[in-house]
Parts: sequence; C-alpha cells; structure tokens
Amino acid sequence: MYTLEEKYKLFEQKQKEAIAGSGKEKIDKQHDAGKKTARERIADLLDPNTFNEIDQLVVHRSTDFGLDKNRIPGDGVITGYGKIDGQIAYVYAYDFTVLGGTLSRANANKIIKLQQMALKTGAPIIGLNDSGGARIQEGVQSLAGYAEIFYNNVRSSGVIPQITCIMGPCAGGAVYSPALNDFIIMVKDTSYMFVTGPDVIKAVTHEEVSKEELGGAITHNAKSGVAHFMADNDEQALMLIRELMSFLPPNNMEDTPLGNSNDDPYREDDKTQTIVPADPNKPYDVKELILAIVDDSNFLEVQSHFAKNIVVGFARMAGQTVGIVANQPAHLAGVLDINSSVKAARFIRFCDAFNIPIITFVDVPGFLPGTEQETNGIIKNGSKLLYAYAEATVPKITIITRKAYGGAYCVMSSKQVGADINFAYPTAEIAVMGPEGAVNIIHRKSINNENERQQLINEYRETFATPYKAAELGYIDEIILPKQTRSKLIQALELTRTKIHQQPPRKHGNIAL
Amino acid sequence: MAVDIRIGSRDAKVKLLETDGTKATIEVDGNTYSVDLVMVEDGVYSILHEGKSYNIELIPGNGPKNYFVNTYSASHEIEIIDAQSRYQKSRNSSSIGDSDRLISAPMPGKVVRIPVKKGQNVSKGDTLIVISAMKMENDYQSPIDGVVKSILVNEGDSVTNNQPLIEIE
Repeated sequence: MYTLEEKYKLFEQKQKEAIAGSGKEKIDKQHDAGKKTARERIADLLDPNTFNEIDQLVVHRSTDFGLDKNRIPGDGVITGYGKIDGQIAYVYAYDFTVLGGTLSRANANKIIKLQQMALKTGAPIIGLNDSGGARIQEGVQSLAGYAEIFYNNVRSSGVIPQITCIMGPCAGGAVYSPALNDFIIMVKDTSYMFVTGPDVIKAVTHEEVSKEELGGAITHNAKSGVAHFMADNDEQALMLIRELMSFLPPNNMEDTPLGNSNDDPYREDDKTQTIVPADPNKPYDVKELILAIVDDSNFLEVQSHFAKNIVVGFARMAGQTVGIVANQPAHLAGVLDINSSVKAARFIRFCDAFNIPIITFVDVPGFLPGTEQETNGIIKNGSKLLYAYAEATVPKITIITRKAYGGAYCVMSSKQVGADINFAYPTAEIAVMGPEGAVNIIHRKSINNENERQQLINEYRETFATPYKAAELGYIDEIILPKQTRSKLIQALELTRTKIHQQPPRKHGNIAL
Repeated sequence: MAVDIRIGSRDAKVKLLETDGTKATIEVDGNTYSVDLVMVEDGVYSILHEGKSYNIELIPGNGPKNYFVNTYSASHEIEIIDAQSRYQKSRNSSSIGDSDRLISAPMPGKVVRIPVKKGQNVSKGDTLIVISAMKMENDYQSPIDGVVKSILVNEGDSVTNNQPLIEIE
C-alpha cells in the first residue's frame, strides 16, 4: 500500500505531466510562429492566479492509426474557469502543440461540459481557437463532437455572452462555432478562417488564392464582416477580450457591470456645438461627436473596418454600458446599404439580448440606390435593421443630428418603431426627401424656369428640412443643443431604466434572413 | 482597489488596503503606509503620517484621469492608470495597413473637383479628389506620401461603384 506521501507525490507527478503537455520542442515551435501556448494565453486573459482547470487528466480513447501511443493528458484542449476584472468567466483554449489542437471525442466532451456549466451558472464563455480541425483518425466521432458544440452554442445564444478569439488556423466545419458566437477577435498574420482552404479551391475551381487573402484577419474584418475585432498579436487580442468583457453582463438576466467614472454627467462640451456642419453637403466624423459625449472619451468600436458607413460599439454613460449606433457621414455619406444594415442589426440584437440600452445618432440621406443593392436584396437586408430596432425592448434613445430622410427615417429608431425618447438638433432635417427632389415632384408641371425652382427649393428647405414639422407632431420629444447631448442622454437613460415592455407570446419572430 | 499612478516618469503601484473613517492604509510599491486624510477645502487635503502633516492640492488636469498635485515644495503631474485606461492604451490603432495605391469610387457619384495634377507630389492626407454622392461632397485623401501617377477621370464625370479614379505611387 502507498503511504500518504507517495499518494500525494503520484498526484503531483500526474499534474506535472499534464502541465508539461507536449514538451519543450513543440512549445518552442509555437513561440517561433509568433504564438503563445494555450496556458500562456489563459494566464494573460484571466486575473492572476484565478484559473481553475477542469478535466486536466482527460485522454482520448482512440486506438486506430497508432494514436494509442500518443496520449497526452488534457488531449489538446485546456478548459476551466477564472476571473476577468473579478467577474467569473469560462475559458477553453485549443493547444496546438498537442496533435495540432485537433478535436477528438474526448476533448469535445471537455468543451461541451464547460458550455453546459456556463449556461447553468449564467457566466460568459470564451474560446481561444488554434486548431487543425477535426481529428481525422477518429472519424465521425470528431464530427459528432463539433455538432454538439454547435448545438450548445445555439442554446446559449442570447443567454450568456460567447466570445471566440481566433489565434491560429480554424478551417472547415470548425468555423461554425465561432460564427455562432457573439464576437470574433482575429489575430493579424497568425490566424485564418475558411470553410474550404486554398488547396481545395485550386483543385475545384483552379483559382489561386493565399490563406491570408482567403480568410486572414484583414479579409474577415474589412471585407466579409465575419470578425468583429482585429489585434496585432496574442497579448493585444486577450486584452481586447478583457476590455470587451468589462462592458458586458454575465448573462441575460443581469445588469451590466457599473463602471466608475469621474466624468461629470452634466458636462457641456462646447466643441460639440460645431461638429455637425450647417451645410448638409459637408461630411463630418460622427466618432468625434461620440467621443465628446461618452464617459472619459472611451468608445470601443465593433467592426470598425467593415461597412464604415455605420458606426457601432460600446461606451459608458454615467458608468452604465450603452450600445451606440451611428450613421457615419464621413463614409459614403452615411448611407444605408446591405452591409451596414446587417452590421447594425446584429449589434442591436446583441444589445437587446443583454439588457444594454441603445443610443442612435441619425444622419442618413437614405438607402443606397443602384442595381447592385437591389439585386443583392437591400429590401430583405434593410428590413433586418428595421426588425432589430422594432423588436428591441431595451431603452432606445435617438438623436437626429442632421438628415433623416424617407424610409431611412423610419428605420433609424424613429418614435414610430418604438424609440422611447427622440431628440433632434436644430440642424436636423426630417422630411420625406431632400428639398431638390421634393420640389421636382411637387411642382413638376408648374415650374417655368431655374430661378423659380431655386426659390421653391429654398422655401421647402426653410419650411420642411427642419426638425420643427416633426416636433409639431410630437415625433420628436425635445430639440436640444449639441452641447446638452451628454446630460440629456444620461437623464433619458435614468428615466428609461425602469421601462417595462412585454412582447406578445410567440415561439420566435421571423426576421427576414 | 489597485491602480498604477504615473508621477512624472515613475509608475507607482498603489493599493488601498482599508479605510476607517478618515484613516486609511495604503500600499505603494510594496511599502505600507497608515495615514489620516482629511479634505480641508475643495481640492486641498491634509495628510497625517507618523506625526508629520502634509498639505496637498489636487487640480484636475487635461484628461479625466490627469491631475496636477502641488505640495509645499514641489508640483507633480500625475495620471491614474486603471484597467480601463490600460485597455485603451493596448487597443491603439490596429490599422489594416491602408496602403491602397489606387483610389476608387466607393459608390456611384459625380466628380466635383480634382485639386491635383498628374506628376504632382502629394503628402499623406492631401485631398486628391472630391466626389459628390448622395448629395454629399466627400474628400478622398492620399494614403501615402507620393506622386500622382495617373488621373483616370475628369471633373464633372459620372463614376460607378468601384471605378478607379486616381493612382498614387
């Protein structure tokens, strides 16, 4: 029989083996590729000494293709829980140094166990992805593992925040777990995601494309809109997750963490008075306005490289997390198109699911005309944004800074699609269309010359391209000066904190996908 | 609660261990101090430490976390570095290496003005072309310091989506 000392020693030995993983050589190789190991990443992500590992000694049960001679405790995925700024979070990190971080039945079970615990206890789950995909030697068992992970992703969607960081390869079916998550962070140069890789593409279509071009961080952040954030390296990516987490509640039943800020809620910033130009043809950067209004000029932009004509992101107002949606006149005149509609709709639905009030800055000339937009379904895609705004039951506050024309007025969180408080600046122009177009239609038959047209346009501009018609009808609650924005918004947020809004009973709505 | 405080060029790790009325125990870079702290007037504090009294004036600085601290003999500029500002610093500007040498139209519109000529030297940020689209005049700036290699459109032209406009090298 073993003595007490021997029993403890045996345990320590086993733990040491598990932590050593696949050995120094493979770890060096990981470092040479500019990547951290799974354990280093977890240590960076969590508060110091808060990580508790689960299933450290799990090994795979496969015997085919000589796999029985390659069993490493943990089996290529490290799972557990810890704290981020004091808040509980679950973490799983694929260990690329163990069998390429491939998914086996055994390590899929580890992730599934973690997902179920996260759902049961209402805490966020974070995946650090660096995996060669399915473990081919295990065949369909590995696929079953993926499918169960996807199933749990969907069950957890809108209940707990799910965040994935892509820190290495992520190809084939494996991409769908990140895709079902709320946010994807990609590391520049070392990460890529695609359903079919360059080799398959070349064999099937003879098209030659590099991994980076096909599914690198830049492609997914700027072109496809699959990813939400991009980081220069592992450290920055993990810091970004920590920052993102600081804005989010642990689950859909709880409020967001209250940040502490010394920023005066009633601060009036004279700089904001001149950001929006009086000339409706002059662009301006709406991010300047956002930064001047939110706490400590701290705005975490989401999808900053994709569909730049709409800006979305998180900020705090008097410590409370808010989601901000803003048309960006500095890019494509702030027009609504397919990409910007879908980008904003997804963000609004995230905020609504997690009790984050939505603040909307409106300066939109309308929907982008053109065959490309129509044939790609701007009708269907634009309706997603409308749907998201109308469906959201969280506090919704709108500020019309300048243009709110036509259908785009309706869509952008108008009073009539359920906004709680609607503000407008004196520079606002709320009408069915711009003065030129309106005059050409209304006076089509009666205009005799250019002078008369200009006069009619000016008349229309002075009467209708203002916030006053809408204010007379009560569609705008209050016209405010730009410098009052911060204090008015904070008071409106206080007012709407106790808002109750019941949806009619239904299984779920039918958003136009 | 632990924060880093930058005093001039020195970063000090400061931790508030406990407070009891006006008494507080703080840890600065591993050394523990027991102090008695009272605000005597707006922004002026009197600190009692081991029988010695210090008067300190705190004046808000340029940022929400910047202060000027005046003691009897010296003046310091300090910045509080908490988790939030550390995140903001780390975030910086993860740019996508915007080195596109070809300016193309992001949407259908009309060329209003081309303030540059072929062969002209331009610096990064100079306006190369002004396009009017959706009744808005948008300036497109040079992404790099360079020379205008070719101008592919004329003032007054209508342009379509993704049409190349100006090439820089």
